[in-house]
Amino acid sequence: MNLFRVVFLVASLLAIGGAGYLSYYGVWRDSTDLDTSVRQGSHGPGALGGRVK
Amino acid sequence: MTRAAEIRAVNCTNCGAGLDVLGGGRVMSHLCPYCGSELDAQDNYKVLTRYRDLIRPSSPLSIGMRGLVDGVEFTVIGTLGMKEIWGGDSWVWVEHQLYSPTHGYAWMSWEEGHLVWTRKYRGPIDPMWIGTDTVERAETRPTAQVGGLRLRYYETTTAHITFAEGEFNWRPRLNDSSTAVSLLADGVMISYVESRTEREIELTTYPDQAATLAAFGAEPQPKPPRVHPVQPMPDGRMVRFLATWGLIFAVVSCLAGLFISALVGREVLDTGPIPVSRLPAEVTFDLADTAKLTVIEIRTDVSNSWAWLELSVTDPEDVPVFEVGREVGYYLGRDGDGNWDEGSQQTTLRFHPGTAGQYAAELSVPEAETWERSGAPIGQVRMIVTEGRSTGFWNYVLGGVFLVLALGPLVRRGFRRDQRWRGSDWSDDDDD
Repeated sequence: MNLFRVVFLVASLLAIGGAGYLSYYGVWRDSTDLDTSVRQGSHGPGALGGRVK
Repeated sequence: MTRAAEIRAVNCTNCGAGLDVLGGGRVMSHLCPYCGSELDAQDNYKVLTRYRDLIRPSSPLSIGMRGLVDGVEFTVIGTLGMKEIWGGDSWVWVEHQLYSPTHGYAWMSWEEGHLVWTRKYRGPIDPMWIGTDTVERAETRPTAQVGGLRLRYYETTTAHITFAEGEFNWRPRLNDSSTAVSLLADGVMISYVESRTEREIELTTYPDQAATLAAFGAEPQPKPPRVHPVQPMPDGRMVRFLATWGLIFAVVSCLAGLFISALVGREVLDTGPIPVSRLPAEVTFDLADTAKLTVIEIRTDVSNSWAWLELSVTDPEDVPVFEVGREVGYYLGRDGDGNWDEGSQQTTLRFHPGTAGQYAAELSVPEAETWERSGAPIGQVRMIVTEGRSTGFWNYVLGGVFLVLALGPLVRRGFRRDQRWRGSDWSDDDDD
């Protein structure tokens, strides 16, 4: 068996393992339309207003 | 009758030019490259005829070049320019006669940027002869058996000589024509060739192009734009390897995806039906698994109607995790083609919780409408939350990649096969 075939088989098995890991933990499978920006600001307009004033 | 083999050079008996004698004792005629005279190599090189103003066709090989073909040293002794005219189109190519003291005479042709190697074939073949009349009468594509190899009819070619120089073991004449009925298999062509004076069966194969050019000391040539019919298919073993293992891994990956998809996780909330009149409503649920996905499924009873749902989720610290708006709409009816339906009564969203603890979700339906009179407005919603969910998505994607890896070489091989047979003059209609 030549080197290419060995590399192909090993890489394929690793890829299946890697895909299994991503699938099992649902990596990059969060819904994409969730608006998470509310987490990155302060505690809402009230707090923001409080800081400014 | 043979000519004395020890002669190494002669002077043209017409113009006096020095001519190397390279072709052995069976050379019949020698065409002077300087004056175009055809000399009788078997009769003191007397002038038989003279051709004027011939244009030498282009080829990487030239008379006097020596090189190994199939481990045997051959010398280029003659050059013929050939032309076929058919149906308003014309094709030109160059045929070089080669000579080996131990293996006799053969041909190396230069066709549309390809070198092809042709020898007389004396081995077993069935049928012994296929002529143009056989092809004309055939209702299915004619075939021939050479050893265990089955060849299928490719084309009938009638070509004539447009240029000649050097030595030949026969007497080429300008405009002399020959007709070849050619049959093809992978990397092999058999031609039943009939000329004015003889019938021959010839075997044509495709040598390693770069190695052959280098062996003869010829300049390397660019890759030809088109596939030659005799050009062997890509490495079949590699294609089989990729097809076999690509398909195996595609199946394994998809099965792994199915298995992982079947891991349904743990249900942490089922609100049961909530009347829309009670919305907005806030519900809480406890999440412990932060590594895997949490899935929120919202089911409605829309029917020929739509509703705009809004959901906001906060974490155990009462910090907003996300807000989302989704439209659900479900329509059904009946038309000339029968029953139809489209859309969905439910929507699903996925997220990874940042921390374990009690989460709160507030659900509202700020907008809803019915479709035509038959629509039933949204009456209730139900929310189901499960944690520890997995998805087979990436395994399915990888399965698709493996499928492409498996089928790609097969498709490419089929494309090459089509290209190879594109030049065949056997029409599909004749196959019927």
